[in-house]
Parts: sequence; structure tokens; C-alpha cells
Amino acid sequence: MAGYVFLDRVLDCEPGVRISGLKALAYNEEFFRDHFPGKPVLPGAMILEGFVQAARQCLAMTEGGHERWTLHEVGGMRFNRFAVPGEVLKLEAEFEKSDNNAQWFKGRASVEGTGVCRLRFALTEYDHEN
Amino acid sequence: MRYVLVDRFLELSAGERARAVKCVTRGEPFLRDLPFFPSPLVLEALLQTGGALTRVSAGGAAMSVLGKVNRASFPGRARPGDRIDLEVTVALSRPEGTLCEGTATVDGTTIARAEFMIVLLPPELTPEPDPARDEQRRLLADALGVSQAIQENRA
Amino acid sequence: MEEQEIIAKVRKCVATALGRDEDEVQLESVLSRDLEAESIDYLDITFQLEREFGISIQKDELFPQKIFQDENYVKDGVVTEQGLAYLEEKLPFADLESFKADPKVSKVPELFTVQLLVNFVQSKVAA
Repeated sequence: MAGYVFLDRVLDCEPGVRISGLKALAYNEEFFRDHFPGKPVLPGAMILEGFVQAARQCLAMTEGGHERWTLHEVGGMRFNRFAVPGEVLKLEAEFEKSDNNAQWFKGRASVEGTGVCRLRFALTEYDHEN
Repeated sequence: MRYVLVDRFLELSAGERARAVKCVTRGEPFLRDLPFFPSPLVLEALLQTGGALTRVSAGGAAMSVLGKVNRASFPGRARPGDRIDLEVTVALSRPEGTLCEGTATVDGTTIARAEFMIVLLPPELTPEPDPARDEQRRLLADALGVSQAIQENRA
Repeated sequence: MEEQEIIAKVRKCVATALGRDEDEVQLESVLSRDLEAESIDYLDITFQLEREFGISIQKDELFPQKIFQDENYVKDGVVTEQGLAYLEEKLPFADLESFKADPKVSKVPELFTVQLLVNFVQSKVAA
């Protein structure tokens, strides 16, 4: 799929169970110019997009898996500190439970062990036609 | 790749409500060949609308940031060629920031709902004023129709 | 409003703000130490209480930030007489006796228990 690819590297993945990866934050990325001018900070919504992509990959890698997963709900996304250019962000997502067609994950983003944000989110399947 | 997820503000009523729009096009790097616009970025459009509303409500404060997303749901999605209508209301307002509720719709169909907190950065955390940068911000605000959106609601 | 109802609603507000189950939120729970509340959570709790009880909480009325910011209130990590007076004024329901025995500013967050919030709401609702 084209579009913006968040993760630079997958560290490890247990299909359907958990996935972890890294994103290196470089000042070069244009979105830093707008967010914010004079104070580049990784946007929370982009971290969320990163988690969606990671969880999608985790589900896709299961036997018979596919990539047609989209964000269904966010149960709470809390921020501890900003992640900024020059840092490498680590994303860790863990499958929690299935609930109707929603696959719930727990996620933690950190920089060198220090928490940047925590969240719970669910993905849901969509059909080819959608 | 820019990170301005609102194309135009239609209304900015301090302490109350903001309405804005965002058009979705294949020309955007975030989208390209994807079948639909990523939902986290629809959330971002709501956050940016709420951020502008919070700053206007605080008398034109310098900087606001996302404090927390309490909850969000995405019953639908936006496709290339869609115009997303964004509406954010202030549920509660304090000197520290606002609790906002936002809804994104396409042709009247809700594609996203969110409740979130926008926090106003204290002066010690905001960057130093910079004329060139402030000019850029002013140009952007003009392009997005901020002054008119504020004006029209004083009438 | 009955005390039991206030307690139940305050626990719900705290649980919602901190993303926890209500059973984890006990009256004795210290927001920072037991429930891992961070600075953004104090703001969220304030919003949740305002919304749930229809009350208006002024800046610093519930969580007096000035104790951390005013240099007259703290010296070498210890809260001064002035600082103690400020806390007594702002937190009439807090248990300050044990705090006074070892008034380190780093221990101020331990004053913020769910019980304190209940006491605060009771006084606001009765007013």
C-alpha cells in the first residue's frame, strides 16, 4: 500500500499477538515544519497512525491474514512527553481481545525506555469493495 | 509533506464551536493509492480544528498541543474526492485548556467522533517569537480564512 | 447529594480520567503513587469532576500548582512556613499533619487521594 509508511524497522513480531518496531525522527520530515514552527514535535495522530500500521501488519502476518484493517476506535490515548527529531521512537503493540469485529490492542511508544504515550485501540475489517 | 489538515475555517466562535472543512485528494502524500484517507488523520483534522478554537477562545494564545484523546470512534471513512465537514464544540474550558468534542462527516454521514483535551502551552515551553515565522503563521491563517471565521460570529 | 453517591461518582471520574477499572480506585488511593496519574491527568480529573457534578473549579483550587512554582513556598526541596500556610489554605481537607512531619515538596502529590477529591466535591456541592 502506498501512502505514508510510519515504521522504519520491525524489531519483532509474533503474528496476531504482538509487534514492535522503530521510527527514527529526522528533522528532514516536512511535517515537522508545521508541527510546530520553531518547536518540532512528533504529532500524536501520527503516532496513532504508526500503531494502526503496526497492528495491521501483526494481523496480516497470521495464517490466512490480510491487510484490510482500519481504525475502529481509540479507547484512550495519553501522552507523557514529546518525541522530537534526533530521537528514535519505539512502538510496542500487543493484542488484547476480540470484540464483535473489533480487534483490540494495547500500545506503548517510548524513547530509550521512557514512555511517550500509551493507548488502547481497535481495528476492524473492511471488504475489498469498501 | 505539509501537516495542515484543515483547508478552511468556516466558524470560530470563542468558547463555543468551530466548523471547518478538509478536502481529501490523491495529490496528498498521505493518501496516494490508499483506498481511503487514514482515520488517524481525520482525527488530526478534528484536533487541529479544536486547537484553533482553543487558541481563539484564549484570546489568540500562541500554542496549543494535544493533551489527551479520551476516546474516538470511526464509523466511516473518507475517500479521494470527498470533502470532510469538521465540527468541534467546547465541552469545558479552563485557563489550562479545553475539553472538546468533535465530529467529522462526509455528505452528512459521520465518519469520526472524538473527545479530546487541548492544552495551552505555558510561556516557558513556547518557542521565542520570530518575525519571519510569525509572518508565515499569519499568511497561513489568512489562507485558511481564520479572521473571517472569527468575524462572522461576532455579528 | 448523599455521600455514597458522591463517592461513587468521584471514583467513576477518576477511573475514566486514568483509564482504569473502578475497583482500582479506592478512597485511600494516592493519585500519583497508586494510580500513576501524570500532570495531564490532573487536568482531566478536573474536567471530569466539573462535568459530573456541574461545579466550577477555579485554577489551582483543587490542585494548587503554585506550591511547585513559587520560590517562597519551597527551599532546598522542603516546603517553607509560607508554603505550608498556602497548602493549608488551598487544601482544607487534606491530612497535613503527617505531611508536616516531613514536608518535602516531592511528597506533596501524596496528599492527593481520592478521599481528598470526595471532600472537595462535598464542600462544593453543599455550598
